[in-house]
Amino acid sequence: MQLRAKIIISSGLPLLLAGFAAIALLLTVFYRSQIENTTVHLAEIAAKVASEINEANGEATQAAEILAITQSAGLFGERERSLVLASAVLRQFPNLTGAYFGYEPNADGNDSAALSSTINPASMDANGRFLPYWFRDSTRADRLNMAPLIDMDTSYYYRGIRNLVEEKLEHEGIRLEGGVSAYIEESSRGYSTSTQHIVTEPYLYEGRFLVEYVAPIIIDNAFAGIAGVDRTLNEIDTFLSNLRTYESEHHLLLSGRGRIISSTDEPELRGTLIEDSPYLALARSIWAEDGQRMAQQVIAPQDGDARLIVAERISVGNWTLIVSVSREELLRDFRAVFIQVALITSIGSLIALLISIRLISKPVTRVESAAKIASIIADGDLTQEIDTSSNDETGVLLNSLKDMSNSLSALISEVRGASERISNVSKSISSASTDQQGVNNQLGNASSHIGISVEQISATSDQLMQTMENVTSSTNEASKIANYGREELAQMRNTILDFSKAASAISSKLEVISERANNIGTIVTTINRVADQTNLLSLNAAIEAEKAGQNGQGFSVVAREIRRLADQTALATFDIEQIVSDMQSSVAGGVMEMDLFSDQVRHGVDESLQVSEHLQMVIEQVEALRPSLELATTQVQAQSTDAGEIGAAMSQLEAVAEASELSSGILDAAVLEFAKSVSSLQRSIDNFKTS
Amino acid sequence: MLIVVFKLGDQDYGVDASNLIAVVPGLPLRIIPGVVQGIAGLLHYQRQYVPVVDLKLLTTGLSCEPKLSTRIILAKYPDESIDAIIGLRVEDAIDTLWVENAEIQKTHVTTPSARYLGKLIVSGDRTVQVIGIGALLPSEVIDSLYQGSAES
Repeated sequence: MQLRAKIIISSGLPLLLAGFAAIALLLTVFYRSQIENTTVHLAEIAAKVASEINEANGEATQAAEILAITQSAGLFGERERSLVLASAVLRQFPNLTGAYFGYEPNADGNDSAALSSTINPASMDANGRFLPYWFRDSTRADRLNMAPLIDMDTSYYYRGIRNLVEEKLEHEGIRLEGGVSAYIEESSRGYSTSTQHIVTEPYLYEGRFLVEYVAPIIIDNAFAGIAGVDRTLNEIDTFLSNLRTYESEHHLLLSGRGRIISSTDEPELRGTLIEDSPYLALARSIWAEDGQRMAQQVIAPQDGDARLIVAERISVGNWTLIVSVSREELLRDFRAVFIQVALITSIGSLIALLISIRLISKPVTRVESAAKIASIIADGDLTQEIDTSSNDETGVLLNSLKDMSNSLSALISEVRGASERISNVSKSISSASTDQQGVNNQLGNASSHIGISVEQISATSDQLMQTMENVTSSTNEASKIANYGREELAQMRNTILDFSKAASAISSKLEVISERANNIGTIVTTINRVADQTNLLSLNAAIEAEKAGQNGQGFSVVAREIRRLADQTALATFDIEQIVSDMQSSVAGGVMEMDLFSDQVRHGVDESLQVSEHLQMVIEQVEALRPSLELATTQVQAQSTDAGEIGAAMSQLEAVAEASELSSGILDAAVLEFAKSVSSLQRSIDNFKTS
Repeated sequence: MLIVVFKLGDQDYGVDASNLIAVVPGLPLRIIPGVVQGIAGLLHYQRQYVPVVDLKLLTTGLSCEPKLSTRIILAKYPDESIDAIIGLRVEDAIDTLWVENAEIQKTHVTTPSARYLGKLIVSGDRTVQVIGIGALLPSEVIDSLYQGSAES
């Protein structure tokens, strides 16, 4: 960057920054005060409007209360005088559109008498109940008409005030189109609890937007009826619109039960519940969290438009006035100021810049000529004539340049001599470096031989380690197989034990069979004995028959037959005996065989136990072998690592040797370069023209 | 003639049934110590003691096997002078044989030491030699045996 530009920037930029900062501060302050002023202004407007509406409401309420008080004070029951009073009050207050009384049925005891009296029949209903309503004629304001009241039991103006006097909820039994606003109910700002008067919800009646102000008639501490007035709110839109000072100013008047009485931008919203209008969010933003009404500044988003809002409470009727202004409109003034300030600042800065460029022009020219002379000296021409006529700092600069040129001239002749001497030294260094290179080469060769040997050792170690690992794994395998063998032997032993149990079972079964065979033997013996006895009997019978001689002939035949049967029996039993004894000997043989088998099984178990013990010994020996193997492996590993370390060390040594060789080469090159530099120095010095 | 047949060794022998009282089981006998060989003992039969000769003991020196078929044949002593019963213990006394007199043959062999062996009878395929009960024991033995009973 050029010197000129640097000077301009360093002097102009801080000035500009400071200027802009000051402007930003000013604008911020201006914006804040604008908002505050508007807020105060809006609050003033709201307070003024609210107080005017309040006053009008208060006036109507007072008129209603006066009518009620006169009834309590003795006029109650005096129907004709009451009618006169009501019409007089209506004439007295031009703002009112109607004045009326409403008695409870036969409250004065004159209902039936009144029917036959001369009193205006429009002042009562069909039963003679006193319900006179004076109201202004819609065409001629000075003319009053009268009609009986209606809807007493479903409207706020009668039932509502009676509810309050009887300490019930205000809206009990009231029929109100749309009902009380949910917004009012949710915010628990609720209903009026005053028993002195009531302001009803505004309603449309014969083209008029009416609101009732009613007070109760209390006779002997009991509710006897009402006295009230009404007035039209038709003019309130116009009234509020005329108060506007801002283009976007908006007034929203809400009734005590959440209806829009007036919205200056949309007169058609009149009578709508707040939640049915677009202003619910706006209305919500004016209430604090505890439900108390606030009169303070808030910037509320409504239809995407930020607005400045001020709210005011109107105590009579519990109405609410909300005044708001678009922030956009406030910022419009602010923008105009902002553009002016920016323009002025820009022009001022430009002028300041031009002046500073002009001021620094001359000294900069001199400095530039000094720079040119310096560059000529740099080229080696010391014969230059230097003009030192100027008096300011640039003159001093040029004088110094001249002195420098002379000094350089002397210095260069000295350097020329020195450079020749250096040239000689550089030649000596070069030859020394060549010797060093040879030594380095030898060192490199030796270390690479050692490296190869170490690598061989390392490889052998690795092989040995591999072998050791194989041995270890084989040992592990052997141990595993021995373990398997032992487990299988245990299984086999269990099986053999099962065999042994089965053999015992068979033995016991055989014993049972043997016992049975014995039983059979016993039976056979018995049969045998019987046969024997029979045989004996037949023998004796034969002998007796022989003795009897001829007479015993037949008997001897019988005896012979009996003996034959006995012989057959004996033979049969002999066969059975034979079979049983065979069986017994077989069973005995079987039992013996089983015993032998059991013995062999037991022997088998013992042998398997012995084999298992042997296997356990094998496993233990193999296990005992393992630590030694691990130690051996570790040692071999350590050896391998050591060999690797030696190899690494040798490689390092080799690298060092190579590096040394390289640096020798570099030194060589450097010496060469040095010699070149010296000669170039000599050439350069030759370039200087010295006088 | 009815013969009660028995065995001595494997040969059939018999006694004439006409003199027999009864055949009884080989009940235990009352041993007479020091008596002549061949007498097995005394059998208590119907409230008197009957001397019993063991034919096998007499001829071979061995007592009869203690089997059910070893029985005692009770016979009236053939000598009319002696009113006594004699018992003969034999093996396999389980059968009788009825023969006609024609079938009886006299043996052509006589044995002075065994005068009790009598006639041979052949009936069908059987050959039975009849034993003479009265000749079983020498007369002095008989006398000594029955002396007591005669006196009492």
